[in-house]
Amino acid sequence: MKRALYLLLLIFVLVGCKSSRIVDQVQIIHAMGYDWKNGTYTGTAIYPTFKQGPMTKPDILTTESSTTYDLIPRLSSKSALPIEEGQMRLVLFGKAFAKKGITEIVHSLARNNKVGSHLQLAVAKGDAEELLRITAKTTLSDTLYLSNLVEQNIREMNLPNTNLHIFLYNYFGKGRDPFLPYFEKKGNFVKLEGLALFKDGHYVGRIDLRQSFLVKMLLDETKNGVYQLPISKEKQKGRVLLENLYATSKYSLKKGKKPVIDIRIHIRASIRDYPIWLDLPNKESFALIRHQMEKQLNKDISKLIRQFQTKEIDPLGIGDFVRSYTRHWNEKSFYKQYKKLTIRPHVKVDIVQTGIGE
Amino acid sequence: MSIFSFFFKRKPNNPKTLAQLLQKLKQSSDFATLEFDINGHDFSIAYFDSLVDPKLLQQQVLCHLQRDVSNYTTFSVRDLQQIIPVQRIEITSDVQTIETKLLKGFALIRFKNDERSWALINLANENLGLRQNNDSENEFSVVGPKVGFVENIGTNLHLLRRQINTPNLVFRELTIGTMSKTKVVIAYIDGIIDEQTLETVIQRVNEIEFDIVFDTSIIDQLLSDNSSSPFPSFVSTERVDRVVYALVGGQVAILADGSPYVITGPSTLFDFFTSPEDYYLPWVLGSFFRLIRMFGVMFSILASPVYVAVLTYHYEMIPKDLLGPIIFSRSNVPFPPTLEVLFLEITIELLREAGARLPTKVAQTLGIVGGIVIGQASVEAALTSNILLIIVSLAALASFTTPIFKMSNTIRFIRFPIILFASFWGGVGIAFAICLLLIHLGRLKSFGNPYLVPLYPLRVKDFADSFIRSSYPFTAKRPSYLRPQTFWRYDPNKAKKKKDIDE
Repeated sequence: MKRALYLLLLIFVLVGCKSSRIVDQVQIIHAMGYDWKNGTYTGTAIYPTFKQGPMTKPDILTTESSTTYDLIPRLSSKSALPIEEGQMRLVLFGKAFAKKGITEIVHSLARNNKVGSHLQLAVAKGDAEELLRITAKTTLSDTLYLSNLVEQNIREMNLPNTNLHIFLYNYFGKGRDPFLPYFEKKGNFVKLEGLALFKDGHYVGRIDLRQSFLVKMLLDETKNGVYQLPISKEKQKGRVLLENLYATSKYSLKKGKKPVIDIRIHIRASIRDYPIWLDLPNKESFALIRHQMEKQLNKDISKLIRQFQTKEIDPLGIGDFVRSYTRHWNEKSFYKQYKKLTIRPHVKVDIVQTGIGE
Repeated sequence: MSIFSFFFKRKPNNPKTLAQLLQKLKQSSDFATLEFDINGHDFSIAYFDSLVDPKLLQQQVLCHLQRDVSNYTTFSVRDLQQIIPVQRIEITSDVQTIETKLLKGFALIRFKNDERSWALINLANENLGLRQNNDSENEFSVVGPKVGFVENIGTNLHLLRRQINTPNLVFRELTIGTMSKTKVVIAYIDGIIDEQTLETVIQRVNEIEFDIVFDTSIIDQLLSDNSSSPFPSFVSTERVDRVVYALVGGQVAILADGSPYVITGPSTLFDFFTSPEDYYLPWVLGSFFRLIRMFGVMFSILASPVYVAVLTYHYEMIPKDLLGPIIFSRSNVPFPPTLEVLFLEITIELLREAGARLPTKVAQTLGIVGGIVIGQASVEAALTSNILLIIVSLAALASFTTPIFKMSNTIRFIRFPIILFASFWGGVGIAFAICLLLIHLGRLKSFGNPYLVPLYPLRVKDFADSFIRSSYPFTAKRPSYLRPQTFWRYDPNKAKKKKDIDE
């Protein structure tokens, strides 16, 4: 009985020690942008205010500092409510910032227990602040616009699966390099323009959205994505739109003095759009365009891998793959010969459907 | 033993002789004594006017005495049985017995020529003042019998005996209550019941020390293994089928005169969430509704604490599409989530309490006034958020799905400590509170039987009728935790056999 009384007393005394963050009494940031301009860092936070209704116009806070650490604390000095990053869905890096290195932010995010691993990271051509301001404009009017855009493109289109978790895996994992979605400002809109490639936490280049489909296919089995291919038949030239239904990739390693990596890619696809002169239900033209598609895809993939090899980056995780087959794998010695490594793609296309009707 | 000690120690001054007894009883105006002198046979009848059925007295006793006694030259107490058509006329010379029996509605007949033995005739009016209507009103089921127990124990025993047609059904009668002398019956099926359990029950019932037994729920509390637990130790029901099912499964039923509720035990936690309807519906549906009920209980206990914890401490885990509606609906509420929840929960408790106390017709109006007007108004006045209003009313609704009223009260009660835990320590607090709850449940016992069985201790084979209600070929075995003397209720192989038309 006495013990119970003490417990009760403790409960009432310790109530003062609680650190509550009541949901409507904090400033929830939905997206954060980092820029490097004229020798200072700029932080831009985009946050919603729900005073008039569940959906309202996004607001923007910006601040400058000489380090990245105190950007969020500095934002607090401009806000009526404490800033909380627990609902953050997107971190956008300006290109200049990304070139300078995102290591500090990534380490900070990796240790932050408030942010979830579904957080999206992305790179903006130009300033992150400018892009966030565009999304905050009335036409779009959504604090989650960019993160939704990324998620939609991962789910339905050409963007390979990315989020903080995958980024950190690629970043810290041996034998692989991270990549992020790449945005560009197009007039009054923000457009996804492919993938930004990183090496040791620095931006080193990008590939376009068409190539990012190839990356998506090479990384994992996927069930979506579209790819345009040129075809020709008896002097007639045109393009077909291939819609991926289910693609798998399988890597195999031939060891030896000159190791060879074979990538077998199997695409079950549907031809969504094709020129009228192409008589598709016809068996011959079927085989023809299949052949042409396979050839073209092989060429494109080879070119993409060539590009990675000249930049000495490994977003596909080939080093990691070789590591899994090699005892005493050494990162340094592998990447010394990475440039000269033979990587051969073998694409097989199965056309599952071409739409209904004759 | 404080200032009341004299009250317990005072020796009852029982009347020693019949004359003293009669003297004492005559203080009441409803105690009647009729004197007769028919043909030299000098006798008198004494009884309580308020307990005796006047029709019986006139037709069975007075009529025959007045007409037939004169035919006899010598007439003694022992000859009464020959002329009075009432069963079991008792001849006694014990004053104590006479006192108890008179108070139960017996009539005392004594002859002047025999001052040592007297006759007691049962003329008690069993049904006077008791309701005749025995619909089970509080535990309703759409399918199945609607017969319920009533206040009259004779009727209740009849209902049981009619359904369990075996000589093994045993009724053991005891008397409890120093003042009410209530007839309490322990019912069990011999050959199924575990001897040890039965001994425990009889011993505990015998040890009860109380003045007036108003209802079996008092016996329930006095018998309970842990009287300070909010959880009821025994199922108490007014449905006949529930009690019969319990008896057949190897449990004991305790009935008391004047109470339409029957206690069955030893009970487990699952017993409180099974409804007779589970057994009347096909097993797929029965299981589904049982699972819904259990989900309802979990929801009812956890919904508002989780709301408090998430909104106060863990805004990170709110889904992004829900964030806007939650913040918007809370933006004008001046209270922290804890007070907001307590305000609404207490409002609902008040509504329920008021609805239960008021007459039925007023209660309906009150439900509408409370539910719609107060709910709507408090949202419009920005005292609570409308999301919370939905959560709290759903939780209240879910708590009413529990078939046993006592358990549904418990569920409504244990929500409040969990809300406090959630408001002090957030999600950790809820986990902590649930742990405490589980520890408490794990320690609880009902007539010495574990309360959480078959979950703890784990009895895998007894899961056939726990979360899901398996089909009848699989429920042929009685639950092993009751340690029944015979395990099989019926032959499962015969129950499984399909009798086709060409057989």
